[in-house]
Amino acid sequence: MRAEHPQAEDTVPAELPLLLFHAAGVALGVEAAAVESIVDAEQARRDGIACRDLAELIGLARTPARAPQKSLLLRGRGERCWFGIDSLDEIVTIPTAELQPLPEPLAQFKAPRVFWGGIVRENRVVLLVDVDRLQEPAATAIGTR
Amino acid sequence: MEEKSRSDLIVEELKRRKGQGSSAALEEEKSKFVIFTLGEALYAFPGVEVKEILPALEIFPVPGAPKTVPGVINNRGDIEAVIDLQAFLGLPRSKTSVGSRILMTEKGGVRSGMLVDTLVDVVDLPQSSIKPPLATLDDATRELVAGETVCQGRSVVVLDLSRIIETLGTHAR
Repeated sequence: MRAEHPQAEDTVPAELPLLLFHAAGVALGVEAAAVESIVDAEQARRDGIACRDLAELIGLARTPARAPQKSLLLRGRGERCWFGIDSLDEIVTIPTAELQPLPEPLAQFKAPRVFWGGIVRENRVVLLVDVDRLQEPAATAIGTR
Repeated sequence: MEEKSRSDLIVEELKRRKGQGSSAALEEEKSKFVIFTLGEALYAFPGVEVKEILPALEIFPVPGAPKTVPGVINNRGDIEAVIDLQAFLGLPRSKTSVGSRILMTEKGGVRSGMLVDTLVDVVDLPQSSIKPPLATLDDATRELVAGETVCQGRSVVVLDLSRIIETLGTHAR
């Protein structure tokens, strides 16, 4: 079964490069094409970059409370925004045949619509984040600009 | 032709009735039921709806999902959702243990894992043994119950998988 990315074009590529990372202990991934830049969160703070905490945006509680360690500049639906994450894992190229849609009944729920599917990597489930939807909800900005 | 005595007629009738009774018993359909526990109580799903019984695999949380859906599992490479039946039925949650199981169910094209406390048995029960749900159940629970039966002297609540999946759908709206 193949997952349908919301932005999927008529021609689905045979492989999809993904950036895998963790936020509040949960393994997540985004299309590598949506990632413009990666910097240390501390550097971003020093540079006064306004950064949204990705874990907070998608309703993940940080236990214990800990500031994001890395910042990603993601581009979605023409907008660019910095997001704070815990740690970077790797960039992988996954055959699209290995992408799976979010299973029912989860696919019915509104909140997890920010996830468009998942992959199994080293026996663990990695949820794939839809960058466009990530920018829809309001979020607490961290930083000064 | 010798006329049959009244006693002969009675014996013949008894034989006929006995024969009918035995064939009716043979014909009574039995169905498989997967019996499990949630807390102390026994529950069941029709066996035809349970495709697989898995150990308590690691559940990967899905942010934003309701508490009745604790997350997803990796079932031999397939990502499947898990429903916490105790939370769903409003029962106090017991701790997931080594005895916990995930019943992979399928109904109406929807495949879901049902987290249960322990697997008790898979039994064949006659359809006639499934009685309507007790009137004393509250309305919300009664809607999710297909019937009740008795197994090994204990009451077993047979859950209605279609209704559970429908109700989960309404949580989404």
